[in-house]
Amino acid sequence: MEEQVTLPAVADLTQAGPLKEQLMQSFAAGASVTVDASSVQRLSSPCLQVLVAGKQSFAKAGGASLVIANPSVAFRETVSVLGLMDALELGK
Amino acid sequence: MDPMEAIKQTFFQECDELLLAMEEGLIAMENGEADSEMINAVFRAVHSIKGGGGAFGFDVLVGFAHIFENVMDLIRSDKLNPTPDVVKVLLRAGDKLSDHVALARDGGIDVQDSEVKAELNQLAGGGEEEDEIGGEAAPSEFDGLSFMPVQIDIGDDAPAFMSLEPELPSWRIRFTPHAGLYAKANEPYLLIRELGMLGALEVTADLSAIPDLLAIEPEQAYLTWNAVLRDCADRSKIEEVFEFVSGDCDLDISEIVPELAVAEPVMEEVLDAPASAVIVDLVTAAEKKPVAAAASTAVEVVKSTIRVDLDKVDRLVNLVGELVITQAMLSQRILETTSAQSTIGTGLGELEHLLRELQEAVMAIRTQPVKSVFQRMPRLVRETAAQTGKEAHLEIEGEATEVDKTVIERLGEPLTHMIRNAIDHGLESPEDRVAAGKPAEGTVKLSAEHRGGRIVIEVSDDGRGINRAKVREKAIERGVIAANANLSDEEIDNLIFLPGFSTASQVSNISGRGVGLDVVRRNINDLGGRITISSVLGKGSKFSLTLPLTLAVLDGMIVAVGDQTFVLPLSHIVESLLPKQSDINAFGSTGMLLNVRGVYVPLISVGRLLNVRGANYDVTSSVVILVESEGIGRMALAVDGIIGQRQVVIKSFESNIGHIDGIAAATILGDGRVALILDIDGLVAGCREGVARPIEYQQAAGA
Amino acid sequence: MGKTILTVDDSRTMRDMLRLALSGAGHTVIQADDGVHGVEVLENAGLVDVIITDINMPRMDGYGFIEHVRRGSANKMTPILVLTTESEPAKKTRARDAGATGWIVKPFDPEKLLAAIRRVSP
Repeated sequence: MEEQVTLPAVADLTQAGPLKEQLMQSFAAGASVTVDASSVQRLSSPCLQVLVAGKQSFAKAGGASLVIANPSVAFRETVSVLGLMDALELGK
Repeated sequence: MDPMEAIKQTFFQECDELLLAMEEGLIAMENGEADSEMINAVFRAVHSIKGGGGAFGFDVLVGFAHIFENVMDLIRSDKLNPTPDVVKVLLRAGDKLSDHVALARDGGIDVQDSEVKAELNQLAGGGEEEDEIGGEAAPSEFDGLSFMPVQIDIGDDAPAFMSLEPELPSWRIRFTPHAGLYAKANEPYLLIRELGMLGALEVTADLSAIPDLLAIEPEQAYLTWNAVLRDCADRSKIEEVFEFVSGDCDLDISEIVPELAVAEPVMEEVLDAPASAVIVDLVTAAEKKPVAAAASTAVEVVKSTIRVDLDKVDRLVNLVGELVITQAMLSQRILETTSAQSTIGTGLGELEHLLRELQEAVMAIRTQPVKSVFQRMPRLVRETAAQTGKEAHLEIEGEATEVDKTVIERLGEPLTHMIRNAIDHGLESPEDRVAAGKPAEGTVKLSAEHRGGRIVIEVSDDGRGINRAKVREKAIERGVIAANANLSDEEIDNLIFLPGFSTASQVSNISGRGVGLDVVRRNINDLGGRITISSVLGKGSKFSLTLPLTLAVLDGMIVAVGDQTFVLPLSHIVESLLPKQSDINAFGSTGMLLNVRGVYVPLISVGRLLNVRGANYDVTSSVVILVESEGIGRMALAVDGIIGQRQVVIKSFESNIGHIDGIAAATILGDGRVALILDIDGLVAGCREGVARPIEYQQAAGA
Repeated sequence: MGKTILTVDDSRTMRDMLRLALSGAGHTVIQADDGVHGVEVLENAGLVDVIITDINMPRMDGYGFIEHVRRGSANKMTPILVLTTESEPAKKTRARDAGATGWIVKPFDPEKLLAAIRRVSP
């Protein structure tokens, strides 16, 4: 099973809660989830915290996975400055 | 009108309204009819006048308004009762404030306000605060905008690689946001990005506090960042970055003490003093301002500058240009009518010399450091590297080099393109680099310097260099060159400047098709500059741009063709020669080739090309000037004679009669005649397109 | 890249200066005269990148305006900078408590203004 979550252009603090809920649904269903980050213009640390927590929880549970797809330039820039490239498995 | 002047007028208009509102409020207070909103309105009126006044440097007005405002603040916060006596003082203060505004607007005698000031100070709390609020308090305490141009300090905000001073201290920073930081819309990304502008920064995120997805509370704070910042002189700069979040995070900044002090006991004596200084610094680290930080901020030198409307400067440039022309005309007339030994000649020489200096000084007003363009490039490098999966860092040199503002404005686009090109096409992927024995991270270098009255800007990379075999193959495939063409390495390199030429096997959206290096070359040529490339396979490539320092004057060779005079830009001229009949060979029906020491170059008669009346079409009795155009190559231009070499003031006519291919602009010569400045690239390109199709320049000749 | 910035200030002089400095830096500027007007303008403007507001204003002051924005709207999490002075540290604290992201100490030059914006908005 494969589900998709799309991050909004402005992923600010208010988006962290909805993001968690979406990830939780996939997690509970044991489905892998792809987070489409292609349209992100502004990315807040609260949203990143949720993504890192999701990444770790999926890994710990095994089976399904959380993958970030098509990160926008702004997304990569933010993650890279904050030293979270490895945690989100966004290699070069 | 200067926008600041317009705003100043707005300010005075607004002052009139505010003074009226203030008076209304004060009179209501006198009659005991004022409610708190009216008192507030009086406070705001005084406050706004102070704010605006501060922005325009009306320090005396601001000083007075500040004291007045303090008293109004006490009244509106119920700390001072507006008794009739108090209101009387306020009314007098209102009158004085009107006088101050009038003084600031119209000039005139100083306002006699010391008595009222003393009364206000007394109301504001007697003598105890006098030091702070009395008299000429520092303008920085006051409200409002200050629009003094800021001298950009290169050392402070330059990314670290620009100034790798090994002596500068390094810092360890531990930063743990609280939830309140996020609630106020602050963002660690922006703060850490700012830190990165202070020096070389390494950041690691501490994820240990992040709970499971199930347990995480989206609006709580779980992350901690550990950073090492190198080469940052000033602790206060670091603190400034975190200024907005100081109550909403745990922040720990400590200086990293070099281990050298312990490792080298022989040097103990020498190191003793600095080592103890470091300790003192660490002890005071908890305090707000360490001694070292205070000392280093005091050293900053502020250059004084004024802001001048660009139109005024351009008018000055134009007038000086006219002056130079008039001087040249005058000199020529005088020298024609008087004997060469005349003492007038010496005076004229001196005048010419002074005028040249004046002209240079005036041109210098328009110059700016290239920093404004260069400082956009580090970000570009980061973004392009991320997009292309390369690793790259940028070294910048000579960003203080100054060049004309117009040149700077038009430099951004070609530079952006060249840097993208260097990363996208020049640098190899990290894996390939490591395989080739290079560091995974590529280096792109951007430098500027003055050389021989021009500015030279170089963009180099340590990438794979130009694969000439591949370029050649591509050029043949596209029919740009013949399969058996015999080209020098340099000529092959220059093929990449041809329109639509790209050897990247995949067309990328970074610097692939669409805008190619041909556009870069055209941009540079439009600025009167030239671009060349040199490359070593496996070692890297280097683009060199040479550009004139100004677009207002040009060093030119004055040539005669028939009854016309033309100017050829000296930057394009290789040499001039008198050809022998035997060196000239017919080519096709009208074409000619000139044998220059064994190399054949196309020979064009300028007279015939431009259809000039009375021109000598017989090239064998002409003077030939060998010119070179970017990338397209050399060409020999036949003219009737060379008149001389001089600097000419460029007069653009594009706004009057539009663009004419082959003609760049015009100038006025010493004898008052108008001479057209030839656009060598346009001429050469036009001829190359069809040697047998002479003359779309006939229109120009009629002009 | 230009941002859309709302400035809220009752002084026309200050509004003109903010507009000059911000639009000179390539930003799109929308303006309001006081807190109440600011709220109205924001309702029509949708999401803006940064809000800059004065504190002392008629009808609704800066604190009231910030609290209103933070209570909920499209701009709930938009960075807000307040215009304040060095001599009023208490105002900074109150503005922060109301939810201000940062502040700009007057008098400021365009560089300082733009640096403050850079610190709160990408």
